[in-house]
Amino acid sequence: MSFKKNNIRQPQNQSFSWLLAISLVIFSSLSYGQDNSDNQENNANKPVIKDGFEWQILLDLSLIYDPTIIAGIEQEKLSEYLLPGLLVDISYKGFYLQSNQRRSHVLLGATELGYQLFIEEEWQLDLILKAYMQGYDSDSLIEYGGGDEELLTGLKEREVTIGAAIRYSQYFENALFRIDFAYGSSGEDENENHVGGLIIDSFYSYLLPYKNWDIYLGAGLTYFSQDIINYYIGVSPDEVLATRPEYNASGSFRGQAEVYAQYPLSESWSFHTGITHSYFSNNVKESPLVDTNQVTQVTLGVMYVF
Amino acid sequence: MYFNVGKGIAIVLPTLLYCLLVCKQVSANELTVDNEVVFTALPEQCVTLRQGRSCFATVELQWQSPSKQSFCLYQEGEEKQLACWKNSNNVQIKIDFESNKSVKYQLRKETNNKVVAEAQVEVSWQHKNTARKRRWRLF
Repeated sequence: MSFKKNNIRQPQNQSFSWLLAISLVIFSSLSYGQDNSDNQENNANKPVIKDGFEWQILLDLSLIYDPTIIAGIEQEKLSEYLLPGLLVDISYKGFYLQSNQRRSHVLLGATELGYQLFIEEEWQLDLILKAYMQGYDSDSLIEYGGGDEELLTGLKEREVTIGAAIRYSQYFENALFRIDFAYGSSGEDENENHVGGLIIDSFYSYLLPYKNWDIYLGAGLTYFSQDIINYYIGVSPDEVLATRPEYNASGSFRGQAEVYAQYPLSESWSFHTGITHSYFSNNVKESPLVDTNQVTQVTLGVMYVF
Repeated sequence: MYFNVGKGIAIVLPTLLYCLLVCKQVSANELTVDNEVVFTALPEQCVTLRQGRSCFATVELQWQSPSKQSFCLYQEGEEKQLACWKNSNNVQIKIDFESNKSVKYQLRKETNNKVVAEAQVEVSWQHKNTARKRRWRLF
């Protein structure tokens, strides 16, 4: 059984296009009607200095082993391990589009659109729009990606979950802690009702410099509300088969541990590698759609800085 | 007149070609003061991920001279010598390089401390260390 990365990532591409379109509108509209001075909003007591215009584009050429918890989806062909990605970072007058380089495996779905509400030396409060959950389309997987027909047939498409969040970030000497309180918006359920719910996503990242290496140690804990988890791994009455009973999922947690390292090869090229282990709540395994509640992802590649 | 112009071209063109070839070979890390002494540092560039970070490398310094010489090796701006050689004409030395800015090495005569050759290791980086990019890197 195999699946094509391009197929399963189509929802992320769509979400990225959406984010990109919104950001372009915002950035282009802001470029008119405002002066070119530095982005400073002066408060009588405390000046808040927001990011000026900065940009950065990186090309990521990676090999990735990216298993999912959904049964019947596996990587087999070499092409399914290859994953080029274009990572874009732009900031302007407090608005920004930023990519998470260490999580570029979800291609452009790791891109976030944000606005800085408050910036202090040690902490920051932002509004964020980003994809929190990958979608999957069983029909495409079966037809083009070698997905297991017996396990996947008759399942409706699960769309990507886009979340609007308020993010608190705390900066330490060589570390960052952030927590997002998000409302996640998924697709529609079997009754064509919109599915949405709470997501609380936290992550701690510690930078350990060693010689010319940047080594990041990370840990994360995420809560997904019942509606969202049920949308992805629940089995609705019209999806029931003899081998697939109806199932209603409950809210779940995901814990993550990560090690990522980056090394400069030249002024433009760098090598990077990482391993991320994700552990979902035990109740996730009760779903007939789920194979395992633990997955380990490995990446290896090079990045080019434009 | 025609002869003079032709002679001029005959002199200038080879000189230009020679200069293009030879000048091209004098790389950024080879800042020779005494033309007879060739002093090089390899690698000539050390790259870090972020501006301001110390760059680490094992740098090979080499000097060659047609005649035997007594030289000492210094880091520019430092008074402490890194190494000295007596009556040598071809020397290689490896040093542990650690710096967040470019470093120039000097070869000085042992007798009068006069600089005879210089070689530089340039420190560069991939990402400028702005506040925002610092946060990006932590992300």
